[in-house]
Parts: sequence; C-alpha cells; structure tokens
Amino acid sequence: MAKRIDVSGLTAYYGSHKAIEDISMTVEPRSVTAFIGPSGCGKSTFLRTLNRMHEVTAGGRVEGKVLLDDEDLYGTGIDPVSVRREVGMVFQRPNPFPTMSIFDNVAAGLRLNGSYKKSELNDIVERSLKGANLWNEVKDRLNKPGSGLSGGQQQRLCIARAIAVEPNVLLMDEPCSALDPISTLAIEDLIGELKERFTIVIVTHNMQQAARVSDRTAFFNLAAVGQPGKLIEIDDTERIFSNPSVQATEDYISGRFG
Amino acid sequence: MGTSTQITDASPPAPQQTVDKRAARGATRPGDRIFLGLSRGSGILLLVIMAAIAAFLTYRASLAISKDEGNFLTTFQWDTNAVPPVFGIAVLAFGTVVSSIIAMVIAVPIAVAIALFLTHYAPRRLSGPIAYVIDLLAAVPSIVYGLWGALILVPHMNGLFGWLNDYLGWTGIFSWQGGPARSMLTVGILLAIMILPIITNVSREVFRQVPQMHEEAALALGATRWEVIRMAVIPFGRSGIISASMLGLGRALGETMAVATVLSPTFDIQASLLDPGGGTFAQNIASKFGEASVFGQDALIASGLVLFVITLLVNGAARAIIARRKEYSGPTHEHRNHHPKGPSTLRGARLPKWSPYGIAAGSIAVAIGIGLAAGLHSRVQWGLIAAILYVVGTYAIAAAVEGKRQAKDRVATSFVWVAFLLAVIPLASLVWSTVARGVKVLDVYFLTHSMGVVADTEPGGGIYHAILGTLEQVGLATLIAAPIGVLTAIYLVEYGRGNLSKAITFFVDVMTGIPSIVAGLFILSLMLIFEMQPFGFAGSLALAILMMPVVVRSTEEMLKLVPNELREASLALGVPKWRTILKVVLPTSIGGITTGIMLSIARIAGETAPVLLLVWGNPLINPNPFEGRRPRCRCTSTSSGRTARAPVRRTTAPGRRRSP
Ligand SMILES: Nc1ncnc2c1ncn2[C@@H]1O[C@H](COP(=O)(O)OP(=O)(O)OP(=O)(O)O)[C@@H](O)[C@H]1O
Ligand SMILES: [Mg+2]
Repeated sequence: MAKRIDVSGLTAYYGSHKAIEDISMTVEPRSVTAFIGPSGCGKSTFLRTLNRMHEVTAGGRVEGKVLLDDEDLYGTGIDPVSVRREVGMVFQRPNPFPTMSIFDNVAAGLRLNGSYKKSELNDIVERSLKGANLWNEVKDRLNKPGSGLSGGQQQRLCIARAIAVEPNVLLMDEPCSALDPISTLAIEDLIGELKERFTIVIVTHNMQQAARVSDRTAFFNLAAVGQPGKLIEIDDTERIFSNPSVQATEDYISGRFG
Repeated sequence: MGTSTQITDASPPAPQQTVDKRAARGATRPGDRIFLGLSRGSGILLLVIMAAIAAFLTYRASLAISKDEGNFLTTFQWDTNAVPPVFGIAVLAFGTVVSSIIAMVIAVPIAVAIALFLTHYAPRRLSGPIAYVIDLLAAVPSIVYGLWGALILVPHMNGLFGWLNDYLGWTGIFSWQGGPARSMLTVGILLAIMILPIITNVSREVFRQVPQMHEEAALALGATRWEVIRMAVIPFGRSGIISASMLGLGRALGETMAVATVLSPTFDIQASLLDPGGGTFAQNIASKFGEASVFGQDALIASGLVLFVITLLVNGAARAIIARRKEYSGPTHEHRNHHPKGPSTLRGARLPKWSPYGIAAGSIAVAIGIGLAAGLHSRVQWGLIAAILYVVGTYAIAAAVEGKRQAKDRVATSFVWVAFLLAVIPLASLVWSTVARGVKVLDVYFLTHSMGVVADTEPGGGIYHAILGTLEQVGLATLIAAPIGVLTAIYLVEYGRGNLSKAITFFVDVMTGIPSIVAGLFILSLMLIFEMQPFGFAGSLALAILMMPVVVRSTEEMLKLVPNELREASLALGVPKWRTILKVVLPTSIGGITTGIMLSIARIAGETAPVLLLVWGNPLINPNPFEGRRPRCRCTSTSSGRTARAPVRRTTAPGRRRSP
C-alpha cells in the first residue's frame, strides 16, 4: 500500500557543508517520480533524507519536514528503524552481504526483522527474485554466495532484497547504472508493476529512462560549485520533457548544459 | 505478506500510525539500548581497570618514593635494603627505551615486508603454511624465546659484534670489549624477533582486507606491483600497521622473561650497546621481586609506574603523529604524485625471467672477489657487500632496460624477499631447536603425568599438570577478555564518538604496554587486600587484563574494514543497528576477529610472569580453579602474609620448579 510523501523546507548538511537547501515537493502514492540533475547537485542526498539514511553518515543533519501520509519522519519519537522498514532503498553500487548466500540475501530483511516459516520464506524469496528478473539465473544456486554473481545480477539481487520486505515506498539511486539493456528493461517493467502497489522514487542520469518510467520528474541543480543543490522544478514528465517552465531544465534536457 | 508492520492490502491508507513512536529520537529500541549499554559498559570497564591499576601503582609507589634517599629519577643504584634506601630508575628507563627502539626499528619494516610478502608476493602454496607457522610463533612462550636467545642467539652474535666493533667501534655505541653478547643490542634483536610474528599477523590481516576495487583501480592506471602497494595497500592499511606496531611495542616494553634470561644486568648506563649490562623495568622487577622486602616491592612497583607513564607518553606521541597525518592518508590522495605516465609501447622492454638470479649470482661472485682482494675475513661483510651490489645492480640494470618505475618495483620485490628470508633464519632456528630438544623428552608418559612424585633433581615426571593448568587458565581468561574486548571494539567503531571513545582508545593502547608482571602485581595486591590465597582464577584475571587490549585493538581494526555500504544496506532494510552489527558486520569480519582473539590467546598462553606470581605453579593437579592451589612445600609465607619466591632465573617449564 503506497503512501504519499510530502516534503517541505528540507535542508541537509554534511557537517557544516550545506548539500541541499529548502526543498519542497509532493510525491503521489502509486506513482513513479524521477530525479534528474547534474552530478553533485544533491539527488542522492535528498533521496537518503527520505528514509533517514542521511543521518547515518558522520555529520549528516537534516532540517525541515518529510511527511509520510501526514506523519513527520523527523518528528519527535519517530524510530528511524521503522521508517526504513517502510521506505526501502536500492543503492547505486550493488552491495549484497558477502557472508550470505543468494537466498539469505533476499531473505535478510525478513529474517533480521523477525522469524518466518521456511515455506513462507521460500515463497517470498522466489517471488522477489522473479520480480527482479533474476530467478531463472540463480534458481539452481540459491545457496551460493551472493558476491559470486555478476555486477548486474548483484544489483537485481539487491532489488529483490529490497522488495522482499514489501516497503510502502521504494527509493532507487541509479539502480540501472550497472545493468545491461535487457535487465534495465526488466527493471523498468518491474517499476511499472511495482507502482501499482508502491510509491517509487528513482534517481537517474538516463533521460530516456526518466521519460519511460516516470509519471513526474524533478529537476535539481546547483548555482555553482560549493553551493547547495536546489529543486528547480517538478512537474508531469511529459511537460518537463516537452515544455518545461524553467529555461535551465530545458537546457539540461536538451544537452545544452554548462 | 507479513512483515513487521501492517503493509498488506487495505487500499485506502487510513491515517494510522505505522511508524513506531516508541521513544525519543536516535538509537532507542530496547535491543539497541541494551546493546549500546553493554558495549559502552565494556569500554568503561576497561577505563576503570586502567584507573585502578594506575591508582594501585601510584599508591604503592608513593610509599616507596617518599623514603628514597637518592633522586628517584636520576640515581644509578638500586639498593632498597640499604639504610636509608637508595634507588632510581635512570638505568631502567634508558635500557627499556633503547631496547624497545632497537626492536621496533628492526621489527616493523621487516614485519610489514613479510605481511606484504604473504599477501602480494609469495606463491599461494607457500603463503598459507608460512602464515600458519607465523601464527604459531606468536604463541611461543616468551621464556622459550629467552632460552633460545641465551643458548643460540648470544653465541651467534659474536661475529656481528666483532664486525660492528671493527668498523663502527669509533662511534662508541658499537664498541665491544669482547664480553659475552648478553647486551642491550642482543636484547633488542631478541625482542624484535619476538614481536615480529604479532606485527606480521595483524598487518597481514589488514592487507588481506584491502578491497579488490582499490587495487584494481591502481592496476588500471598502469601501476606496477610496488605502485599498487604504495597507492592502495599501504595507505589503506596505515592505521592497521600502526595498531600492529603499538601491540608489538607494548610487548617489547613490558617483556620480562626473555630479557631476564638473555641480559646480564648491571646497574649502570653504558654508551656501548654491545657490552653486556644495563637493565629494563620488567626484567628488574622480575629478578628482584622474589627476594624483595615489602618496601623493596613498593620500590619495584614505583618503577612499574614509570614504565606505565612511559607507555602513556609513547602512545600519546604516536597518536599525535597519526592525527597530524590523518588528513593526508587514505588511498585517494596519493594518486596525484604517482600518476604513471602511460608506456609508449604496449610491449615494453622486459628483463628475462632469470635476471634476478643472474644478478644475485653476479653480485655474490663480485662480493667474494672484493672480499678476497681486500682481505676481509668476516662473512657478514661479504654478505653485506653482495646485498648492496645486488640492490644497486638490480636497480641500475632494470632502470636501463625497463625504466625507473620497473626498477623501483624490482628493488621493492627484492627487499620484500630479503626481509622474509632474513626473518626465516632466526624463526626457523627457534622452531627447530625447540622441537629438537623437546622431542627427546616428549612421550605419552610426559604428557599424561604430573610432576607430583618427582623431585627436580631427578629426571622423570610429566607436564600433564602444566597442560591442564594452561588450558584452564587460558580458557577462563579468554571467557572474560574476549567478550569484553569485542564489545569494547564494537563500541569504538560502531557507536563511539566524542571523548569517551577517545579516552578508551588511548588507554587501550596504554594497556597493551602494561608489563605482564605489573598486571600480576595488581591482581596480587587486590588479593592481599581481600586476604585471599593464591589460586588459579587470580592468574586468569591477570591474563585477562593482558588479553583485553589485544582483543580490542585487533577487533577494532577488523571492524573498521567492513565496508560502510553493507551497514547501509542492512539499515535501509529497516534492520535495527544492533542486529545489523550482530548479523552483518560481525559475520563479515569474523575471520579477522578470530585471528585477533587467537593472537591474544597466544600472547597469554606463553605468559609466565604473572602466573608464577599468583599461582606458584603447583605440580599436582587441581581441577578446581577457584580453590587455592597450595603446593606442598613451595612457598615460604612471611609473617606479613606475603609469599615470597624468586619468579625468575629458573629456566624449566612452568610447574617443573620446586624448592629444595
Ligand atoms: N559523505 C559525504 N560527506 C560530505 N559531503 C558529501 C558526502 N556525500 C556527498 N557530499 C556532498 O554533497 C553534495 C551532493 O552530493 P550527492 O551525492 O547527493 O550528489 P548527486 O546529485 O547524487 O550526484 P551524482 O549524480 O554524481 O550521484 C556534493 O557536493 C557532495 O560533495
Ligand atoms: Mg548520487
């Protein structure tokens, strides 16, 4: 069951360095929102504030509000661990747990959070691996280590791991940058399926991908190196790619940037 | 599907509170709080132990120093029975510092080279067994090193000493009057050989953890093997190398039995490192403690306090140096200087495969020629000339044919090999002499019988009691020290920020330098306060004190090597921090942590001094560690309730000693 994300006045720091400033946006439930923008403008940082992963980095600090269905993730008394169970994440670089088998990697989120019956786990693992388009490649070696897979396979394993816990929101930071075109397509199809149930936010450097998968697109930019990144505009993907309201967006999309 | 929160179907998202509101912000789940409490508690416990040891040392020391007639810091004399008593630590401080410096200067480069050899140079088939043997060597009791030093190293030093005297004698430092080589230099070399396995072990474990990625990044820039090591491996492992060195230094500063066995102590400072004489804190405490009066013991404890302070200062200095360099460490920064220029052709000129052997043969031949022509007698000299010729020759030839970078790589390779071969000689000799001598008496009877029925003067008896006692004490000490150590390391790496963790890190380093005999004294005095008899468990406590810092240090290094991405991956799944640590971080680093614990077990399994002090090596078997092991006729209880017995100068295995 998807949830709406409502961000208002969000600023994030690394120590004294302000990485992003005063970002406000709404992400509708059961939709895909793409973040685009030049490197270093704070897309990853912003994404990580949405499940309180930002504060995990040393010196990470956040001001502002992130409402998940009317509940402020940064409100007093909120447990970041519970937040992360509801807002899952796929990282840019595949990071399977090296000590665990493929099966255990997918089951990790479930196992580490509670106890499950073996048959139940089998079902979930199979469904998640199928969802991530990996099942056929690994079904005969579920007990082999996850680190023995190729880079693209590892990334799909990480996606399977993230969707296995059925989060409300799925954050993806350039999830396809390590994938071949077929797996990328599979992931994009998967995103299309997942958005029926989940809210999805995806960071991508691939304009076609943003255009293909997303309903809405947000463009981030920074005024100059060392300045904090800002949200320039967010709108329906079609409008952003055909008729954006800000000149900088058009420049970026059409490659006339810098 | 049933995850922890209700995320199943329920289409209209009712405004329900699914996000936990259990407590305030931060790490606040009960599991997290308990785990944090446990690990922080362990850290604090370490601080408390350190404070207690310091307080104990200071108190006893103050009793003695107040009556000292000489200047405690500058007097060259140790006579606590004189009226009024005169004693000072100048000689001991000098000897301790000098022998440790010699040991470090020799051991650290060679150990790092061996670690590199094992991880990056040695053929795979060779490196496994060698690493195993070096692990074992770390477990050899220091008394065995001492015996080996006295029986084998000392006689073999004469050649080197003569040579040093001939050529460097004019400096004064290396002059030699021809006495037995029971001198500071020999002690330094022996200490170097002793701490070599520890430093090698930890460094190797660290080098092994260097992410493939980093090395491949360097390789992809066209780096040679040596450049990969300089760009990726050493910067990545720097903190680990320093930790390893600190562990080694701690052991060198506090080593008792090996020094006491090899050195002929005198109470003066000599300019020459080759002439017998001098002394160290630990050696002095060990050799005088047995016969000392209560006052004499206090004086010795005062010297222990000074050692403690020296350890503190050395660690502080090391820490300051690291802190200044920190900004510039890390693999990324070094890239700038080494950006290798791309080779102009893909197939650069290469020396043939046999060239190292060729150059080696050539330089040996030339060296012999020079030696004969110049009439040099010492083979040490021939070897030295050959080595220099080899290095220079390799560099020159490789630089001419393959270019400077390849030449450096070849020199580095030969240094690593030479360091390895250099270390093999004494270590192999040690293993050989121990095994060869041991095998003669080793049989089933020896292993399964105690010394209970045999007098020292007669042959016979066995070491059953010693094996059982060692296992029991070491087992108990491990049960105490390993959990506390690992939890403390977890606190430092996973939670620690701010002053508490800084203090713990610092004092853990200092703690590695506590001589075993001081740990023994500390427990002994606690026992006296509570009027307890010596018993096995007390020995375990002392051993646990020695073990903890090693466990903390090595575990800390291993935890630091776990990539952050794994922690993040787990946290992003909504796994609480404590479970992330238990299920992801610890399993990933379990290999290294186990090595660390084995290393610390090795350190204490061979530890003699505190056990001698506390348990008095009962030759009978007593399976209950909590019951006093009163030997039948071993110790003479003085009226003050103190037991006095010389714990050193007996070179039999623990438990084989008995008073007449
Ligand atoms: N761990 C960190 N510590 C300090 N500063 C950081 C850290 N991570 C990112 N930054 C800084 O924050 C800013 C935003 O970085 P971020 O990674 O969010 O950019 P991004 O938009 O995701 O870039 P890319 O498209 O290259 O992934 C950058 O200026 C970066 O230097
Ligand atoms: Mg990014």
